[in-house]
Amino acid sequence: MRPWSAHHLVEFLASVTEVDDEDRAIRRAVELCSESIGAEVGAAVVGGSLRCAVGFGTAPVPSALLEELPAGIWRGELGELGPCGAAVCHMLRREDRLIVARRGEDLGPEERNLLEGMARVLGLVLRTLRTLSSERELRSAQQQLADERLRSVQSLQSRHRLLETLLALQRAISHRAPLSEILAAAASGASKLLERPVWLYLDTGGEPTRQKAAGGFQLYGPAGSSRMAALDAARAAVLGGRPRAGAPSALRAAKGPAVVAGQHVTSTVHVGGTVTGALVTEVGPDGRWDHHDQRLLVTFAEHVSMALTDARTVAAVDEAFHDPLTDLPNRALFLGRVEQALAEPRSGAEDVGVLFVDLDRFKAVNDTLGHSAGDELLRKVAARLSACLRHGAVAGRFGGDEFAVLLERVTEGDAKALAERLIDRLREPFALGTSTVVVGASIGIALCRGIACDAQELLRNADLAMYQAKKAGGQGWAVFEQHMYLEAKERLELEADLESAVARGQLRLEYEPIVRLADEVVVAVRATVHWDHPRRGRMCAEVFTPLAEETGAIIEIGRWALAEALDQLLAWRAGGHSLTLSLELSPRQLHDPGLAEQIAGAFDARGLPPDVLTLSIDEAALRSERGALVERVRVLKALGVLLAVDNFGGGISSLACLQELPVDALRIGRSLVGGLGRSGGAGTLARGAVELGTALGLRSTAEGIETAEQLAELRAASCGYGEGPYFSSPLDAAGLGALLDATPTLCRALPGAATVTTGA
Amino acid sequence: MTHEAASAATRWVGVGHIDGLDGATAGRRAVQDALAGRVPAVVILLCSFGYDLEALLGAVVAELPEGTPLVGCTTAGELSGQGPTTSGVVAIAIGGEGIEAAVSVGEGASKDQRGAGAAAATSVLGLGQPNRALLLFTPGLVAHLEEIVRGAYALTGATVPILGGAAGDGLTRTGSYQLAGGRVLTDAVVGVGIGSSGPIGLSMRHGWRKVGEPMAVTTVDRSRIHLLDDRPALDVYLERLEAPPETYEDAGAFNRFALVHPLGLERVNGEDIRVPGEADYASRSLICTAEVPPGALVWLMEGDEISVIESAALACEEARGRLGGAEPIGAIVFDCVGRRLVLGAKLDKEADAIASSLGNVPFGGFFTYGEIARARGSSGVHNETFVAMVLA
Repeated sequence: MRPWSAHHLVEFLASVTEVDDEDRAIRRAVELCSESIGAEVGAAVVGGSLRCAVGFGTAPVPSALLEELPAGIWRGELGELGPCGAAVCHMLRREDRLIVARRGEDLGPEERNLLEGMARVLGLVLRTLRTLSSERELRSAQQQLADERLRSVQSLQSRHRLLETLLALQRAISHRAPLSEILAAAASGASKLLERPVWLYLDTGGEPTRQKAAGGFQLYGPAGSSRMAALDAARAAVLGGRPRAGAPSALRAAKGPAVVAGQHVTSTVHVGGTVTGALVTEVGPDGRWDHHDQRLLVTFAEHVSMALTDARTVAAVDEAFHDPLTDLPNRALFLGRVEQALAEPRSGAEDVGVLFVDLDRFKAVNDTLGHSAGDELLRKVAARLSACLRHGAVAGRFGGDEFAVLLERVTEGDAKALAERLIDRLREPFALGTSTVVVGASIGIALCRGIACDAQELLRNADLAMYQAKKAGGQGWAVFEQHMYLEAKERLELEADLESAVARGQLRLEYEPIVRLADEVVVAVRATVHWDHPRRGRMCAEVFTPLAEETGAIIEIGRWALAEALDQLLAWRAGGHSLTLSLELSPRQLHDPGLAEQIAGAFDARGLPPDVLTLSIDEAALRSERGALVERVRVLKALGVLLAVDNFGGGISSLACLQELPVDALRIGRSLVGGLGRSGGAGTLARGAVELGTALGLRSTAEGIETAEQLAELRAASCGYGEGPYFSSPLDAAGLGALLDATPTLCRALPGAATVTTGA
Repeated sequence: MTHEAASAATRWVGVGHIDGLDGATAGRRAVQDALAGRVPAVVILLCSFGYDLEALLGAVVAELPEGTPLVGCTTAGELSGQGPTTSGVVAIAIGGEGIEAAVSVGEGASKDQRGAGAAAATSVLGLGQPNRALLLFTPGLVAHLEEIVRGAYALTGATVPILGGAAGDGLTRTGSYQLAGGRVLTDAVVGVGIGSSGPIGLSMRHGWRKVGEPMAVTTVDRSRIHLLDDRPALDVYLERLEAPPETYEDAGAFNRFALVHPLGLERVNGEDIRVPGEADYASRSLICTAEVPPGALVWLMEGDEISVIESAALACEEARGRLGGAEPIGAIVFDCVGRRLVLGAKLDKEADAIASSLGNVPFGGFFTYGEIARARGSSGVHNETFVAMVLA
């Protein structure tokens, strides 16, 4: 761009913004555009029709042609001016165009570029002027309304003072002065004009009664001895007014009440048809009170009603569309904005984009520093978020730690760049009181990609992409792709299926024998759940447990499994097999406050001693949630059941767990056991784990034994118990029953086990 | 003295130039010289501010057939093939087959510039000849000359060139006069539409160069610059130019100084020149002879005798070159008074250069307070510029 372009644009902006009506702004802009690039013709098409054209003189203006010129470069005959080269530039709206044409030659690219800028500037100026003009209209409409009201009371005495007082009051209402100021002004204004004390009573909550002297009301007006009497009179009016909502006092006033000296006169105040208060005054010793006075009191009461209704509307509108914590648009308003953006026409390269921003580790901040710190964090996040946005982008908060950003007219590149910027910015530490916290964010990006999509869909897509970013470890962004939707849909279906899996009897238990390694006698069974999904077939626990954990279905599944397994155990024990049972508990189950009671109940119902059950908890869960779990684990332990650590793999935190928790047994993880019989670290670790258990006086059970070599090493390390394909694969209840009946010892008796052995 | 030239057709331009004498005598002789017994289609009268204008105009009208279009204005100096004067009168007469002219006047120019410009432009609308031009004579000290030209352009459209000049008052800054028919006018825009069956060539040039760094016009109200680079404009201007002490308090001295130290506005097709002709010592602002857009960058401009003379010659050659090969029969020129001040003693050389560039055909013109020229584009106000219209 040549240097003149920049300052031409500045000149243009300064000149066009000097005028304050649309026609003059358009004319000035059209003239300046053509003058500044030395073109003969300038024209503006606004809202699809030609608003201004210069350069044609008294010759006919080819309006239809100009109105239809598409954006871009145009070459052709412009009426009597002959061949011209023109640039047609969009202002902000597609239906608004700026046209500049030169006779006999085309406009150069730099000139077109300058005009593009000028057109945008003009668009902005017009938008501002339109906003200003609609505000002016609104204001004048309000003023008109105020004038009309004023006219209706012009017959009153001391008209001038009344006008002034009411006008001031109306201005205060329409300018949204603080409500308390308006209310106080209404009471004192009425008082001044009536030349006697006036109080405004407002019921602020609960049903007022004659007995209830305190709380739930506000009283504006002079202090002094007559205040209490006025309060009583106002309450009576409010109570009396409620059943007959709809300005009854005004009706009564029209008939002209007979008033005696010392009596109170009231006029009720309404919000949405409900009586919420009253203006009250006292008729003096002279007994003067005529219908003018009554109408004046009613007028002031109506103004109070108006102020209250307006304040309530404003608050309601604000509340309905803004998040009170951050003052950002809430989901409803944000959705509206997205819809608006989608409805706007765009050029091919431009897209509407939504960024779904979810904080990483927000819960941790909330949990450790408290909710007020969490709120402060959200406010600060909102501020950083807003600061990163260029003009035109809209941020919103959907509650919790979810934010969203709407980008109009962006490319995918723009959206990604913004996501990067936001992630970088939100990764920087936040100072919350005396603490400094680091959170971070995961961002999902969705673009409408020219496909007709609705706002809800766009938001959902961004949300799904965010979920993907979160799954990838957080602190990153992902762009929505169709497969995410399909996966989510599948997941949702699976969730729904899982909800009803227990009720539909689709879950089955399988039992894996646990063998005493010294003599290979089956001493216990480990029960695991699998799901016979009607369409997907058999699904093992590892597949559906994470989902069940998330949805909470695990609680019901766990209850079912415990009951089912205990019933089966009871049956086997009745058949002479003195087995014990091992079941895994998921972290979510541990948090279930009804768990202990349920276990106790299950044992009571079956007359089984609690120590036949070993509940195992995954080591990883213990590590991450140790603090929160200690108490829960103690409660379980108090029931008399045994506790084991699942997938025990060594490590400092594990050791700390063992010392802190009342654990009875260790289950040595498959990964360690699998390393036995080979050279390398895993074997050493497995032996170490067993020895650690022994040293702490804990029973050890090795998981997943596959070979005779592993078995031999475990025996050598004094590991007490084991399970795995070397002995038997998991079996249904009947299968295991058959196995138990056939032989108490396994390894040589089972063809399947032998197969596994030889296979290994 | 008579200057005239024959052309292929019977169209002619005659110029009479008288210096001094009383108004009636000078006017009569000048117009007699220009007519040389022929019947004109239009007469343009450019006269010194010092004459008794009523008497001068009365004498001229008496020499012309009734109803002859007669226009003109007072000057800041007159110019013809005889050279420059500051106390004379130049009469330009155009006539012959295929020449037509009409006059219209827009009054109240200081109140409604657009309206006055448009009213003056109606003169050109009724003309039937294929080649037309609108000449405007505007008040010398009226603000917003652009608006006058925009008003005229709104009527003429792009097909009619507009040219002309702002009337002068001999640098007295007391107010100029415009002439139309037998009337002496103030605050009026006088327009004369000239139509010809022969080609009309138009060009303009200024002979100024940018000096140093530009300044930003930070606050401006149309033609009054309040702030340059966010400082009082008058102070910035005087300091940057190291102006002589008398310009700090004497409005006349300032005006003469400003005329040879104009400002340049960068435009797509070169620079537009603005003369900050008036200093407002109280508000420390500069009042220019034409609008300065807010936010504009302005440069101090410098020129010298050679560049000024060359620009006049070049404009004449260009205008002549736009006749499509036809031989010129005469020309009307509008020359800025600021250029006159730059040339000083070498003023005669400019007239010689113009005459030789035009092939020694008759020409007449005056030193103006602002030049108007629009042939291409839609803007038409210039300062410190030389404008030539050549007829064939």
